Amino acid sequence: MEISSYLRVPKRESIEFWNDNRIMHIRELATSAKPRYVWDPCKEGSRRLLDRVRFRAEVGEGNGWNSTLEPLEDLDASCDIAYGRIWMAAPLYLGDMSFGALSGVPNVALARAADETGTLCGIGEGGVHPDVARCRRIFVQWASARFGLDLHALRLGMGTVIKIGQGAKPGIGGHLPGAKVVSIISKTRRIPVGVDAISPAPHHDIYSIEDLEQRIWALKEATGNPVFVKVAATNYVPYVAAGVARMGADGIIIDGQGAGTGAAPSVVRDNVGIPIELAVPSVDRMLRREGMREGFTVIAAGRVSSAEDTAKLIALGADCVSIATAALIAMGCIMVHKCHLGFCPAVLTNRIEEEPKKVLSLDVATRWVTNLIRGWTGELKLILERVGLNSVRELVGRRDLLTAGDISEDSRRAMGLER
Amino acid sequence: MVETPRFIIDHIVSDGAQVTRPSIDPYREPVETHLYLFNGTLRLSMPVAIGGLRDLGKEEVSEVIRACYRMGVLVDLNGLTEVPEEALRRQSHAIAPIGAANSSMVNALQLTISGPDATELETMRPVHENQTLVARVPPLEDTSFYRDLFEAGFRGIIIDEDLDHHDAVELEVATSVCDRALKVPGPDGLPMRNLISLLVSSERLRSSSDAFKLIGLGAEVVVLPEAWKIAIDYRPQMERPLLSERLEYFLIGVQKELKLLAGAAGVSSLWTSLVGSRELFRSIELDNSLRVRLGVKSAGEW
Repeated sequence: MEISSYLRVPKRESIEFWNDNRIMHIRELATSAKPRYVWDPCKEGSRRLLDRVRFRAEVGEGNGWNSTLEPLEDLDASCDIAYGRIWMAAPLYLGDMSFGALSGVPNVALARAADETGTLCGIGEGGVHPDVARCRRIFVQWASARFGLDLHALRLGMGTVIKIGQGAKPGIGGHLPGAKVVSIISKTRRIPVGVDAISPAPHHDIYSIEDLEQRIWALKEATGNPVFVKVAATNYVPYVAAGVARMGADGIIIDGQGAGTGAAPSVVRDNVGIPIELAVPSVDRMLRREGMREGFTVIAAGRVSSAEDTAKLIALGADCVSIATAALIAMGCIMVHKCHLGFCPAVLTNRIEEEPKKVLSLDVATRWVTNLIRGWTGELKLILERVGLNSVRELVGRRDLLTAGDISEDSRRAMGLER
Repeated sequence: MVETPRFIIDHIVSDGAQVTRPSIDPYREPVETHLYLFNGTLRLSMPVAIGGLRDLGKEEVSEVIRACYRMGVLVDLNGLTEVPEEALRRQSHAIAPIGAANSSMVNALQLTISGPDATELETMRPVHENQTLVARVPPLEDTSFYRDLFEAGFRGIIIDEDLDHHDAVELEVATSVCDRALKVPGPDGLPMRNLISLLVSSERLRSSSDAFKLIGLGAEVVVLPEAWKIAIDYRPQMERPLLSERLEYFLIGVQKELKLLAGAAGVSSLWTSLVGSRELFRSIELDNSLRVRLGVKSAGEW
């Protein structure tokens, strides 16, 4: 049976960030491809810092969100990354989810959607799915276990990502449970069937910034592509970012606390790392101080749930954001948090079967993600219009457009905001 | 932080090591959890101890002590009126309340001190020369109180949040204050903290991450009086082998989680690198003055 419609979201007992409103908003974008709001109403009542920071334009507007949703063609949502070498139609990077973590169809859908919309798709650690390999706008990930990588695979994409850490589990390596390592995964990753694929926590050849420099240049020489470094948002992320920029990388992907994953020890997920909205401004400030911000790309990830989040993170100092959970929700994820077990009801992260009873429709999934990006971009343009800018490029680092609201003095200072 | 934080500890996050120093992979590399208490006289396998035995039957207490002995874990006998035979045989892993029957045979003796004005501070001397005196105190933000305890001869402090005091503060604050108060040089020129062990205990502590953060704030050992009972689904008259088996599994799990957290932060030994390492932690949305009392930086500060 081919799945081509959304499942009902089950009732959840605890309060979650990805609540029903957020899921419904994403589904509306994914089915209509049209902007739904200017200002995201889902942020009301949320404890997240980013939700409590507001655009001054919204505060001035009062309850006027939602008034006009006219398509705006003359605004420019595009951005250039990696010292201008890569152009993106919208500042959206579809997060790094591996083939194995996702069950194949979603991987292909994400890569195709990136091609169709002129965005980018990170393929995650675990080798390249044969159909993903046919897509152009992909970033190949070079993570600590080097699963499924050779020179050919590295050269397939537009760029390479050295993955040091991820927001859901800073300091811990990737983990694909053995139940999901079936024959095709075993072939792409080059590991035995049924064995847990546990990536080492550190790269055992990167124990310092100097080591990282050697890998960055080796990968640049080998592929001829820009090299990005993905790190988790942690205490010293400004220093890390300065080191990454100094050592010649083209950009950094910073993944904040609370980012999604199927398999992470909950003790690490809940207690390690800092929120992205605190990491991005401090990284931006550090890079400017060191005179390395120009051309270098900062991609913000972790709980980016709407165009408004995107705009805020860009105003705080990012160039581009990464979305992953939102893209999964667009493809039908209902947040049951069972990705690691291999029986995803929405067939996104299920174990790959020889003769599956249910598969996700590739065309529908691709359309959902494409629509999501278009609707999202539409909302982003509406926000640009409200804050009085013509392009996303002008928005980068415009902290003056934001107001701190009721957040603590320490957080306000870390974010560089005025009340 | 989106999920509702309940305690100060929920506003504190730990570091993840990224590039500038490598994280450690506890599945493949060693992360040490052992430590020494009371000036090197007591070796424990992990910085988590079991307490809250007051309401347990005699047989059950013995079973807990046996399980903890096998795991190399300290037992806090606070509230017992008699030190069980089992603990005497394995005396080096227990702290017994003073005055309890047989308590003179235990290495570490605990005396409850109600507060800075307590008269016990003046008169207290250990029963035997080789016994370590441990003060069980309410969580206070009183620097000189902790120094007085050292002067009075105590070589261990248990800050117990379940003791009442009209000036009591949160355990997190008291732990950090006590650790910093004792870092100053004592009479012989060495930091007092080098000679005195700090333990903390509270019924509200839930997990290894709570323990990890309290160790970071300054404690050497975190006593869990309540969490283990919930974890093993403790009920009176439960089968004893089941009790000890589950307790051992719980402790192994706690140890693994501690190793994960330490490894993520690039810490290879909890005892040498984590105790009092407030720099490893950041607070999220804590009131500025409270954060300063804790000695923890705010997230986004570097």
